[in-house]
Amino acid sequence: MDELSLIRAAQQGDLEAFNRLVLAYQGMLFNVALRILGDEDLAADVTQEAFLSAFRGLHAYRGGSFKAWLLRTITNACYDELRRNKRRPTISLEPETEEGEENENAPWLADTTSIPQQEIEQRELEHAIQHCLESLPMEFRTVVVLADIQGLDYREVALALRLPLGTVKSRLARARLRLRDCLQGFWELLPTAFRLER
Amino acid sequence: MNELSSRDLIQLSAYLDGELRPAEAKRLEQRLAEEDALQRALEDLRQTRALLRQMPQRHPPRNFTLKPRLRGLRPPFPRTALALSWASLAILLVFFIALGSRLFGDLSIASSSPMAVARPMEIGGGTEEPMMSIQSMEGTLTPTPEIAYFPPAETASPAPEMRAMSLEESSPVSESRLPSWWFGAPIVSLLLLGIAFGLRRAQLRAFQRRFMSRD
Repeated sequence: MDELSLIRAAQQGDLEAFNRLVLAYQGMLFNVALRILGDEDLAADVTQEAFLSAFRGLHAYRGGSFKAWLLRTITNACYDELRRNKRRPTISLEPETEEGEENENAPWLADTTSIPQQEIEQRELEHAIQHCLESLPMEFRTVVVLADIQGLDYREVALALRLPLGTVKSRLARARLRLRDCLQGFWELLPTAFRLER
Repeated sequence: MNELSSRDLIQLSAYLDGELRPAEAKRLEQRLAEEDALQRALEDLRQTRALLRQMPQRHPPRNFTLKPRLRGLRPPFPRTALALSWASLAILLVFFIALGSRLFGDLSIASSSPMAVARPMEIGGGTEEPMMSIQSMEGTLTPTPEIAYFPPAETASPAPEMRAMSLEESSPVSESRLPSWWFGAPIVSLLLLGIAFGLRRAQLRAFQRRFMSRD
């Protein structure tokens, strides 16, 4: 059964058809939520919430890109979650806590003796990029996650976020500039080929 | 790169993604061949994008499929939340009706009663005086300033009951005034609505936890 048939069946209340769509898109939606929110458990909860919301609101889907429609659902759910948890404490990447004590939860302090060096470096780089992503304003973060991490083209991003194409272009450019500045702070973590000019 | 103009930055970023129109791309390429700063900025953007693109895709910790018993199932609106919502609406409705009648009352006084125009302080501040005047009329028939204001033709001859009636008609301000605490009604209404919303949200979350699969 193709995607459109699955959507039509799901709109008639066929949960099995909807679950096949869930299985097809859950990886993408979870990763979008993970990169926007920066927390795996939270991302899983928000993804579940988004699929439930999508099932309930499927009657409102009137055609067009189903992927974009789902992406809009997940980004809205992430916005809601961020608004709810605005004061949620996060783990700092700085070596010290606000009180000046050593941060024992820093990702680089985890026991990594059994992990190959290359994987350690990859994880550290991932943490650094995630940290920089989270420092972006939400509207920039969403665009850069969809375009650069999920690989969507400008039109798909514009469709998913209901933004004019020009706004997508502008936000993506500014987000990349800010990320570039932020990543300069993690010079040592960057692979030689990616070391940005200071 | 920070010295780049906003337009150049956007153009470079779009050029990197192949999102520039051919003519724009050609113009930019000409500038890139001549301007080292522009070339460096493009390279920076390219590297930043490459770093982002190598972010790994994580496997979801579980499947997010929905359980069959979810089909057609919706949580009922909690009774308490429903009651609070209606109460909130009722308070708002009564508030605006009372406010409206007061405003229209004031307007009609302003346009029809010369006394109201001549003595605005009594309309805005005096709450008890007109009522007291009426009461004193009923009891002792002592003339008050309001009575003295009426043309002699109207105040001289009518019976005491008639005089009291004309006073009541001429001072509706006292009856349409709202007590000051009543202006807190919208806040109470919003508070109730907020509680109702919170209850509904908590219930939806509990509903999701119960009916969503965790395999």
